Amino acid sequence: MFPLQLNDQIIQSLSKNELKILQYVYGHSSETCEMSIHEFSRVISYSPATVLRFCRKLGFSGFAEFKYALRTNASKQPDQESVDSASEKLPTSISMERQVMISAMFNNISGTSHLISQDLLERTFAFFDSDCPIYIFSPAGITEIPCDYFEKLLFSIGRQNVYRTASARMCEHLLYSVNRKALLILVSTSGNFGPTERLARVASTNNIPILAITPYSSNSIASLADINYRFFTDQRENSGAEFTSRLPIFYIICAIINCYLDYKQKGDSHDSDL
Amino acid sequence: MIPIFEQAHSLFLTPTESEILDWFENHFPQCLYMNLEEMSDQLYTSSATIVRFCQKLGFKGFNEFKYQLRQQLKEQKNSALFSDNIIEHSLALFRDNLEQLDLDALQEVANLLSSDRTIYICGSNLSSLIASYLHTVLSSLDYSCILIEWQRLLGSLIGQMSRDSVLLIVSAHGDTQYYQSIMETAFERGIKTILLTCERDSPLVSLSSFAFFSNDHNQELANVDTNPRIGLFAIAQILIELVTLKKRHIFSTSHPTEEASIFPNEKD
Repeated sequence: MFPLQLNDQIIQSLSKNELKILQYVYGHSSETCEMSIHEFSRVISYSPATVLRFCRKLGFSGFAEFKYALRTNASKQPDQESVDSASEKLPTSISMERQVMISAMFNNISGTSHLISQDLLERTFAFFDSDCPIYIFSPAGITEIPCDYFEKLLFSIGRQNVYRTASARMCEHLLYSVNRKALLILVSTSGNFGPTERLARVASTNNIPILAITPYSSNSIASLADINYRFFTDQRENSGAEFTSRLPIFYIICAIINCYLDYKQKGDSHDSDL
Repeated sequence: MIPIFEQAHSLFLTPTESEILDWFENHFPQCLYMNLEEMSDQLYTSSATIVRFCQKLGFKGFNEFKYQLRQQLKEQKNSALFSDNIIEHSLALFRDNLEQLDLDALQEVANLLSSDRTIYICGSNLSSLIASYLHTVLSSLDYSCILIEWQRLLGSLIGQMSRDSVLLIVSAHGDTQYYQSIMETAFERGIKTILLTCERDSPLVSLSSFAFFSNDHNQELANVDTNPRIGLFAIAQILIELVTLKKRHIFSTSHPTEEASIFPNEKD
């Protein structure tokens, strides 16, 4: 489980080098806990001063406090016994690989869920509660599916005026011609997909707020967005065919919808109490 | 109530300090964004008196008092929204879902999906997105498969599919009405069927060669299905990961016979 309560402001404040440190810690939290600042800086090839700056940006007084937070969370790690027992009859290599795969999947989801803050949700719900049009750009390929998912779930919770479009030019036209408050939802697995980035710039120029779902790394779409949901995933491709897991994106959308349903139910019960 | 205010009420306060406390309570949370000077103007009292009030509560000064007040407000807002700890709860459910899965059986299905057989992946309504996700990613991994989202088309195809085809159905509700006759035909013809569902009691389970259950809860809002099916997405992702692992082994090993021992062929 990734222990650090990172919000978008913190991620935006990190330099490229500091993001690399974060990436290392994300994949090696238990090793990091065992190292001194000097050992750690040797391993990651950055100076202790850079490490200290990184820790301070994350809200810790120093490396020791940072390690303490990592260690505290390590004790809350999910029990792997059931995974182990399910795989114990298998050859060690494949059993280990499966275990690593399940752990990585859970770590990505756990890290992603810790980036969903109350502030993000409240700002999102303000748009859901209004009747402004919501545009979703749905680029062809695997990312089209989470966009479709978001659209269908918005309809299922009763939100009207949701318009999904697969054409970047059509979406650009809509953004130029919209003459009232609107929201643009952009989903990008890399955070730098050309057509999506272009739409983010068009929306930004036209003062149309953007809700973006992008990776935790520094990326141009997130830098233009007003509401930033971030996720952890490992970029992967098969000879040019990209197949990065979208599970964390589905998870974010699912969490937004579940929290919104709860928020509405609480609002309704509050109204009936009055 | 904010804990700092509760604490203040339990202390012995002078009449001026009581007025300051009342003012804070009545001007909360706007007071968090005011400086000492603005506050003393509004309260008609000196800055020193406000600082003494803060010190009486155990803070070094006004800034520390304001910081703590902000923190407590933040915590209270968090608990108001996440009173049921929705995010933590859904994360725990996600973990439970992963832990209850039979990885050996999923590996057998991954072997089927990456075999030379013709693969049909079916789903309708929101479940069609899980089917579509599995279909698109498997295609990216060079394992061609056929996506069917129209149930009538599936009904007409089932009688013509070759007997060594594999039929994977995603149905959150274990939708008997649509899939029962299809599964029965597949069963009679000896076609391997895989069911991903949330309903353990679905009659389709007994007709399927493999059945996997997610812990998603089928729920409705104004007669509309609002089950987000994240557990079913997770099962689909595990199948993708197992196929990926297998593919990586095939490429990395220089001895194909060893690969066969790690990934045994499907049981017929």
